[in-house]
Amino acid sequence: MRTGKVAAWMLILLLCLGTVAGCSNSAAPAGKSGTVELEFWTINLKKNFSGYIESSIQEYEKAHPGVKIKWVDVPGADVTEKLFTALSSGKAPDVVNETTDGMSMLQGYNALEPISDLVGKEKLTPYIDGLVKSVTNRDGKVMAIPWYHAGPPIGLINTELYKKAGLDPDKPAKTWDELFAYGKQIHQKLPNVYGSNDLPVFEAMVTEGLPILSPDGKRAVFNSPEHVAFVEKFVRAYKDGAIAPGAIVKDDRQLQQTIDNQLTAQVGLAGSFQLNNYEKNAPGVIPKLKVVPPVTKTGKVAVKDIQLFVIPKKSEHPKEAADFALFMTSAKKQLEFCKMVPIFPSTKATLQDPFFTDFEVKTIQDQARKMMVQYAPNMTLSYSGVPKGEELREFYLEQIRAAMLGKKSVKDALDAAVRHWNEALAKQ
Amino acid sequence: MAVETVPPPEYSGSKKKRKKIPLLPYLFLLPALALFFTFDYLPIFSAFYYSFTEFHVISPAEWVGLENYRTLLHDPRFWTAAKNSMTYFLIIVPMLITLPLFLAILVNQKLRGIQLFRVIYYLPVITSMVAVAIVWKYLYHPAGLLNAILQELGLQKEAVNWLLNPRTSLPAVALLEGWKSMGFYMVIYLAGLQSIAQELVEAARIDGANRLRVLWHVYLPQLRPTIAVTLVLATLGSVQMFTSIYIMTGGGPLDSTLSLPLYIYQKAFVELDMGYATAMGMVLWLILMILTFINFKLSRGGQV
Repeated sequence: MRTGKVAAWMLILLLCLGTVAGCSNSAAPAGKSGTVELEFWTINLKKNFSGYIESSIQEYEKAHPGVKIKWVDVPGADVTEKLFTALSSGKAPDVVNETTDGMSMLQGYNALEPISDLVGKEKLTPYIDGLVKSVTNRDGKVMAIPWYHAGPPIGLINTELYKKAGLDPDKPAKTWDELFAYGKQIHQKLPNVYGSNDLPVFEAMVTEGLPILSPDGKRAVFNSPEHVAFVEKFVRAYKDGAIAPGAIVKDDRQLQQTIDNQLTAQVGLAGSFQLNNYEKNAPGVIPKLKVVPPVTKTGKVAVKDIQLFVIPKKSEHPKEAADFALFMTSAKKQLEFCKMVPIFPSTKATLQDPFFTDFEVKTIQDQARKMMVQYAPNMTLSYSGVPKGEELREFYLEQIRAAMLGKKSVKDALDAAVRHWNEALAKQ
Repeated sequence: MAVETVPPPEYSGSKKKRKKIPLLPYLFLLPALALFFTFDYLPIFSAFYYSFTEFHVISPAEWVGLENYRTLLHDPRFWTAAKNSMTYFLIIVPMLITLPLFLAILVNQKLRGIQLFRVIYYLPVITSMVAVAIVWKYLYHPAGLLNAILQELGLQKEAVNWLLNPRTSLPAVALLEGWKSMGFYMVIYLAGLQSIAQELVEAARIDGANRLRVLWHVYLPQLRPTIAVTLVLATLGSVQMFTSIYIMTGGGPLDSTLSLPLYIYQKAFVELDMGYATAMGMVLWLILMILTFINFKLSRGGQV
């Protein structure tokens, strides 16, 4: 009896250990002697762009016979979590496509190799200055190589609703004050229609020349009297109907009154990629839309996120990895990529190609592209290098929503947000 | 010629042999046990350990003792989430204990086509919560069906933004959750009702009991085990509310629908603050244990 029982328990133990052993990481396969194998991660590109990525890899491998690239495409937006898991398991990829938020988070845990240390700053001169500056840390080290992005924001108006509200579509708003005055008029003339869904996001502050962080990047400074006055304009606009009631949703994909359901008539800062969604889901609205310049006092425009390449500190071949990332983001490779899909490059030379400067404007997307080319050299990121960037942004927006709903004064809301940000920045 | 007979095995052995524990059942149990241990118990024990550490996945966990639990006591968002989970529990549990019982009594009638009604009431249960939540978001839209009906009936003058008003958002989500789960609890009650001896009902009727008295004195005492099950299931489900909120409100507006599981998710997978998230997970587990224990006591352990 006892023998059987012991045997049974030993078998259970064996199987448990076997299962657990199956979960453990095995040693990475060694490359062929003399060959460097780089693991290259991208975000969701396999489905539509595997031809482009694979041919680029072949081109690089041909020019660098000692390097083999192993491409891994990570589905969806969970690249940061997957990268964290890979890094904690000790098997780090070498070149990783990340977003600005992901980069900030990784940087907060000192998990990234500074690019400027690997390739030298002179190799980063072909990239748009504002973008390189945005990925430069407090010590002046460039932490990532900018890749593609959705392009600078544009302005949009619904010409039909504009006319119905007694506004001239050829004289769009240039400032936030004008935008909200127009919005108020729209809501007064057409009670079911609102102005826009614009919020005092950090990108909007940049257009007004209001800083988010102190010059050394160590403190949040967006609670000055100028910032308070700026945000108060939005709170008033919300009360006037110049901003739609649904603008305070947590997820902007859940907005209730939008330009495509024609319950709003304008957008101060819009993403041009939305035009493709409108064309697909609300084709009837497309002929009524007109692309106008984004609202900006300084001429500067900002985006909250771009696609980047980062090199994890745990990479075994950081120099080769950085060289491959420079190749993938070169002006030539980015031009090839931009011709396949409506994206914008991070390199200045790509923007000067006739593909961007000399094309016939036939569709609304062409109108948007023309506008974006004009603003792209002045583009920057609203902020970066802040640990837990996504959580901090959401905290700020939650304070703004409280102010919009009248639960807090703008001053109290901004003070609370700045306090929270500074606590996080102090830990860095 | 004599025929050899083999005695049956149970009579062949000594008294000692009869006590032998067979090996075979353990062998069959092994894979399940190993998986259960690896994917359930091991993570539970690890979570308990990590709740006493500062752990951000990338770097090794650092022992901080009770620090996470101390932080939790002073975290206003944790208390908001706990309060919301409790409010939600108080709305949803009575709803899921009473209404499905009446539905079950209704579909327990011997009428033609009653099966169709049972199917209709059960359909929301098997529909994906993501799909349901998206459709209900449109129902709750200021220009949606609910506002249109209420305005048409003259019950409200202006459209209400159900999901963007901090006072109405949580009850709105609770209503959806209640509607979706109703069929599930109805089926449990239906099974309970069908196991009640009809003689008891008939005897009560002969004694002059009306429908309400039959319900109170015959059905309810007999349904005590069923009520115990629904109570525990509804409690566990309510405190773990996540999907509908994640889809419909994201915890807003102003954290008015932030539930404990959603807050834990945000801390763990958005901020990668695993130590703090597991500490909150442990508190959630404790709350669930206490509520289940109270339920069990209230329903007298399901004894008839």
